Amino acid sequence: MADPIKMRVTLAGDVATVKALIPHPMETGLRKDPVTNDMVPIHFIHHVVASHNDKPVLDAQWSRSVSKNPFLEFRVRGARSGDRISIRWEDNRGASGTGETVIK
Amino acid sequence: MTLPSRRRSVLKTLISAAVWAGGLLPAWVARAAERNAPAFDAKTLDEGLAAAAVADAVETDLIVLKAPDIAENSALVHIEIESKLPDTRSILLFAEKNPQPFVAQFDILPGMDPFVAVRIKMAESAFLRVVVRAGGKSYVVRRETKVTLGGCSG
Repeated sequence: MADPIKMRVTLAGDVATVKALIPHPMETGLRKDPVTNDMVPIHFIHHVVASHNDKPVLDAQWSRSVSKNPFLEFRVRGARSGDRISIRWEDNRGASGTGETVIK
Repeated sequence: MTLPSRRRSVLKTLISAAVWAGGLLPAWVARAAERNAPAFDAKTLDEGLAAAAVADAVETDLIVLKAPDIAENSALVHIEIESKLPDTRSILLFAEKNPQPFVAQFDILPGMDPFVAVRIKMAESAFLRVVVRAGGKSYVVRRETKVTLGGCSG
């Protein structure tokens, strides 16, 4: 199982600013393992969807160039206290993870 | 059963897609199928822009691209993008000298502000290029970021 997504949401008026950290190695396939000297296989998140009360608001396609443990910030309009913000990702091996938080 | 790892990962992908197709989040599956693989796999900027169908983007000052002049850590280059173009649908990010220059695409759906921040790896000092699809057209801004060490190893 992947580690949980860390999410922080701040609400200003009806705009929720969401900052998320998604634990993931984001291996480019270009790096050598320092111990075994073998190439570390490519392993990266290629699809991310963020939703506001289960309605998708952001649909992102990523490459291996996104940093390890990806940081993502976005802004949701029409948000209110008590609303739910969720993030779902899938990687090139078919693994996936989700995170959800309630706006305070 | 011993499959080559590549085939196994393809199989896994197919199986997980089949699981999702079983009723969970059909919208997710439908969109996942739309990944523009030729654009992401392109090894040069020109090929990537052509495959993403944004080679004809027009320069604008209505896209704000914030990135460091000099990145202290090329594996963690913080980038903020905001589009002030009406009807912004997609934000595409390219690092022009990365082995595969097309870094990410963010589709802005109703209910989201046309703003994203993300951290990326840069193989070497290069121009960053942001293309925004808005109102049926493509617009572009570029900005140079210097890095001290390559980021693709880290």
